[in-house]
Amino acid sequence: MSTYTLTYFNGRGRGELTRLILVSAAVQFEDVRVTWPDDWPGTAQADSPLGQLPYLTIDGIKITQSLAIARLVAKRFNLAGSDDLEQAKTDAVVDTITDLQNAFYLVAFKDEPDALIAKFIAEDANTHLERIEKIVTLYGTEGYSVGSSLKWSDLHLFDITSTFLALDVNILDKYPRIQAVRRTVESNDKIQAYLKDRPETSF
Amino acid sequence: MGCGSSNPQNVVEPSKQPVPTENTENLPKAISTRSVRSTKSQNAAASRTSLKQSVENVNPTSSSNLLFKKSLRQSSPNNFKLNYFDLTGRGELIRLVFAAGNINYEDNRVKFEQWPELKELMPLGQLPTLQVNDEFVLVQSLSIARFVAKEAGLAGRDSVEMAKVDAVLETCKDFFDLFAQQVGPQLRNATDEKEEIVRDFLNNVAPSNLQKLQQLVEQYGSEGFSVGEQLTVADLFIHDIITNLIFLDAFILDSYPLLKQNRNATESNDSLRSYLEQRKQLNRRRS
Repeated sequence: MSTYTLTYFNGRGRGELTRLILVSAAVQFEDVRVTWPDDWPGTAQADSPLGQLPYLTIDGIKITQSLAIARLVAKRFNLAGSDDLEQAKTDAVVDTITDLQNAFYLVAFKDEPDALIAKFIAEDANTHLERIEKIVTLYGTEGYSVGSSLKWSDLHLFDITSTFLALDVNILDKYPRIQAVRRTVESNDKIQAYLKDRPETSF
Repeated sequence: MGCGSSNPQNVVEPSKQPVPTENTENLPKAISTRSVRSTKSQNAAASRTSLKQSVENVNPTSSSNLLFKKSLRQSSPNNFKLNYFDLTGRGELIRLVFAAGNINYEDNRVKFEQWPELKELMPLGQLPTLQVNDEFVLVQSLSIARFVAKEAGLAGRDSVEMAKVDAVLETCKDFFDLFAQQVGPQLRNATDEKEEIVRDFLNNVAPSNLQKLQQLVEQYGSEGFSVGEQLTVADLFIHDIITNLIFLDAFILDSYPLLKQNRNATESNDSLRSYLEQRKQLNRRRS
């Protein structure tokens, strides 16, 4: 049995995906939440491989990069796809969602983000959401982004679109397949229990 | 339509290799393209009707045959067609994986005139894409590279090694995205600001990112490789990025001894080295 320790900030950001994967697989893990300015920078940054978070410590080995971590645990707990081809499709969906996440983070973490975020929601978000809708329609079935069983791409889709729903409650109206995947994730017992107790954080 | 020409129009010099993002709006005008098809995939091609005929590929000319030496070709159960522009950009990593893995594939280099029509047929209106067995089209450059790396045995030998490979790939992607955003536009259409932008990138952006790569090579790899003791796709992405940087500063690796050692280790792969040699010759012929 491996031991898993996730080290990230006290927020969703780039760490929540791995938390969701481990939760849905009912895997025990240590969820280390670094606060700033107390722990970060300082020793917490020095302990991380590249001075960045998140990183996963697995049996003493530190893996950095949020998607590398997420893919590792997804594969170990059967959320990555049953063969190479399905895994590749899942990767492609994850990448398409991450494009949206990265584009959003470019504006969201600036000093005065409100106007930029509003502009992003009005103009850029839909380009990305359309692509996500297209790719899950192409690779998945009703309720699933790839194939017909839960994958980490479903969890990533749920996580990232939650942020946008909080900013504009109607933003997913045009995307039925995205909504269907969200319903699948929301109706998962373990995810439901986790979300109920999850701390409210600013990001 | 879509025929390769034996007298390529030379517009892009090697030193001005454009690095487009996956949304290709600002592209250089005319550029020579060649569609290369390995002889092995011709039988499969006869039954390939899933794409419109506007993206026809011609048989390889004698010069492009050099890219696929019959004697070295490895057979693979899957059938691959890579669609990308006739550039390095976000497609070259995939080509490097095919080369180092010595795997058959059709290297469809899309001409810009073909692109508006082909764009409609691509799932996300972007390139690169990989057609697999005429069954489906895979999108997203990094996912494609990882998939082909698995086919080639270049993805890492167990789950932890694969995770380390992914960590290096993601760190490379972070760096590549910055390069594409900041320097890319200047490589396509140089303005007066080009020199300043390049200098700013080399002085203020590149060092920390190269340091990160060096750190990972140190932590995750041995024998010169970035992960484990043998070649993986992680080494190939590092190689690709450094190639782009060397165009801007030929001596950039002098300050990064581990990365220099890594580049040498990577180039010890025979089929990769022969691909790189061909690429150099093709670039020379274009200029």
